[in-house]
Amino acid sequence: MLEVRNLSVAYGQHRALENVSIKIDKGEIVVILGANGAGKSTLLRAISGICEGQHSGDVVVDGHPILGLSSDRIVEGGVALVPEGRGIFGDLTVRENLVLGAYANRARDDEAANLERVMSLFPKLGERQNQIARTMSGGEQQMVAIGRAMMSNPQILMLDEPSLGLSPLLCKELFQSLTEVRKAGIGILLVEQNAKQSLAIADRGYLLENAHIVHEDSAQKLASDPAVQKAYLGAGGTASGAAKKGSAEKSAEDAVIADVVTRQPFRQRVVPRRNADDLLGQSVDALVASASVKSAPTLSRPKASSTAGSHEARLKTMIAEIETAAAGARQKRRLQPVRMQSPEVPVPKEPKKPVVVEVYRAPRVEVYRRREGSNEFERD
Amino acid sequence: MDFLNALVALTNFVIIPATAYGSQLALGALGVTLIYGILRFSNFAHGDTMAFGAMVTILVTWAFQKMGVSIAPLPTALLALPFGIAATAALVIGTDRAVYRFYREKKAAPVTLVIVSMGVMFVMNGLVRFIIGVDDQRFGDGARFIISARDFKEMTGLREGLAIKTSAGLTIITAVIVVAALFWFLNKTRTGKSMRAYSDNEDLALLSGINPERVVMVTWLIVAALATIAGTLYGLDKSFKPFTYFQLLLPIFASAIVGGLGNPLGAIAGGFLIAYSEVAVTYAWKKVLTYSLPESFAPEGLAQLLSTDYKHAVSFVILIIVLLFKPTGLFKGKSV
Repeated sequence: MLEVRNLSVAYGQHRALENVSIKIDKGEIVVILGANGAGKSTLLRAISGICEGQHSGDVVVDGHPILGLSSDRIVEGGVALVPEGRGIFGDLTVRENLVLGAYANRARDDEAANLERVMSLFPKLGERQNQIARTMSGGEQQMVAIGRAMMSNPQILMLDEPSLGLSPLLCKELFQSLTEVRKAGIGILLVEQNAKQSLAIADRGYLLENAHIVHEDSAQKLASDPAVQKAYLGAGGTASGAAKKGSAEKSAEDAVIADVVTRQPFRQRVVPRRNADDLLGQSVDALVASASVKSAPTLSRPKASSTAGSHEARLKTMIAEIETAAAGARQKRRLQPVRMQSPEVPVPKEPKKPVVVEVYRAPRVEVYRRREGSNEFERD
Repeated sequence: MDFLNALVALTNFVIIPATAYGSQLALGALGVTLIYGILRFSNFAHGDTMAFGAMVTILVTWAFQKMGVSIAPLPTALLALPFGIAATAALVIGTDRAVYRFYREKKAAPVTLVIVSMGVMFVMNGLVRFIIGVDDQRFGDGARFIISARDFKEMTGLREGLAIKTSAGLTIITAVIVVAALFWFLNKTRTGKSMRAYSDNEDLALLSGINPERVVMVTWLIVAALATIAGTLYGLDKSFKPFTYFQLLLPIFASAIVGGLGNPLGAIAGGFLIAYSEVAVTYAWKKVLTYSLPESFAPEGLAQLLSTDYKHAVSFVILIIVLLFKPTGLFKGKSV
């Protein structure tokens, strides 16, 4: 069906994708997970022919190479993309949106049948055929966007973060309708940040990190993979275990990781924190993930001591920590005049976790003052 | 007080001329707005495209007149119009291939395309003057009036006459037909819908399998037809002089922007708004006021707000007011 071989895309000097190879079969849901800027959208845009970068490699649909063809020829080849955001024609009615989806020659004959199919999949669109698409709710607009793509009678339907901005309930409905789409024999390539729900409906998955495919596996295995859990499913307990293992290996990478594991005592870590990544100049998650992937075969999974361990004890140590930290901060204040930028205020180490250097990063506030009578700024 | 005479005078001197002028502006502004909506730049060459279309139509009209072909009482120019449209279409599509496409493929910024269109404007301007000369050209024939002022007075016994020029009547009727056809095309046909889709969301249009080059070509075809029709009607109604079309660019742009660039309905509304304002502000209201006010209030002066020399200033003022308070135009077009 759709096969991408060694696809590389560059925007000028910036390599957005390097030697990416993926494959989607009929009636299969494949999910691509990756952080912001990993190159997910570029991959989809390159496949559908609207990517502006320079590309090399092969994209083959049913034995026909499509890379480098114009976008309308690619649609004729049976590949449809629901772009990121709301992929709708806002000023047109719902019906016009859908009918325009069937603009390609391959879809014209089946327009009526496809329209019926979309309407039965999303009954709400049937009720609102003559509404201007822009005036609909976010979820309904996403239905229009998916409906439009399906009208082109695709063999491969690609969706770029369809759950973006949808409520959890709508998101669930959306993914359920995707399983319905799959039943029609359409291969679905899904790019998502919502790893939990997308892995639940997917057959296979790829991890895309910094322009490379770093891992490929069945969705089930990915969902239980500690690295994936760490990076996309927000499993804090296993994650800290993984980080510990990583630091046990004495590679240079791991030293860096151990150095910058940031502490968030109150909630489990869900989203990678920006400042750590920015400071490092590379993704901490990528490092952690690669470290744990490396260590996974050699070490058994940790017994999740931190999660399974008595919650009370954990809470107590946490509270103790906070108190000492607060006390320390207060003393510091008294000793020094208030500093607007305090790069790092080290917190006393917990005796039971000797390896992980825990660092409290204060938010950075830099004050710039405007020079009078000019537009120049100087740091205060 | 004599409301009937006041009404006739108003219709004769304000409403009919302004409606005819408004129709011409609307047709011109439709062309500008379509180019803006689909090719995403302000086409400064539009005025001279109109001049070129009108010029070809005039040349063909003269040829017909020499051959003795006529469709009296209608002007022969109507017969020549298709030839003008064909020639203009060839010119603009040729220009697109030779000039605009190069910048489109380079994904040039809209402002670059605007400057490019200015270059095209000067070339077309020179071309028209080179072929037909800079002078006024007469090409109207057929009946001059639908109703002449004298006939009207005899018919109704009123003191004021109502004259409807053939060209004015023709302009209004043609404009209605052309606009109706254009809207039918944009809203009902597959190609028209694909044009609206392309204007609305270019990327998504590409993803839907719409061929952008085809959309662009159809747009130029329609623009050529609109420009030729508007140019010829203007020439019939007033007179054909290449330089006036260059000047017409301002009220045309004002109309398109006031209505909301990229919105066809807005272009029409804008055209009429500009035309009515121009005529109303530069018309000497003395006659109408004398009829409609009690005798003691009758104005002594001309009651003219601005000299007709300043009529272009009116479109400027309206343009500035709209840009200040509603930059997207009355009909929510794209922001300028």
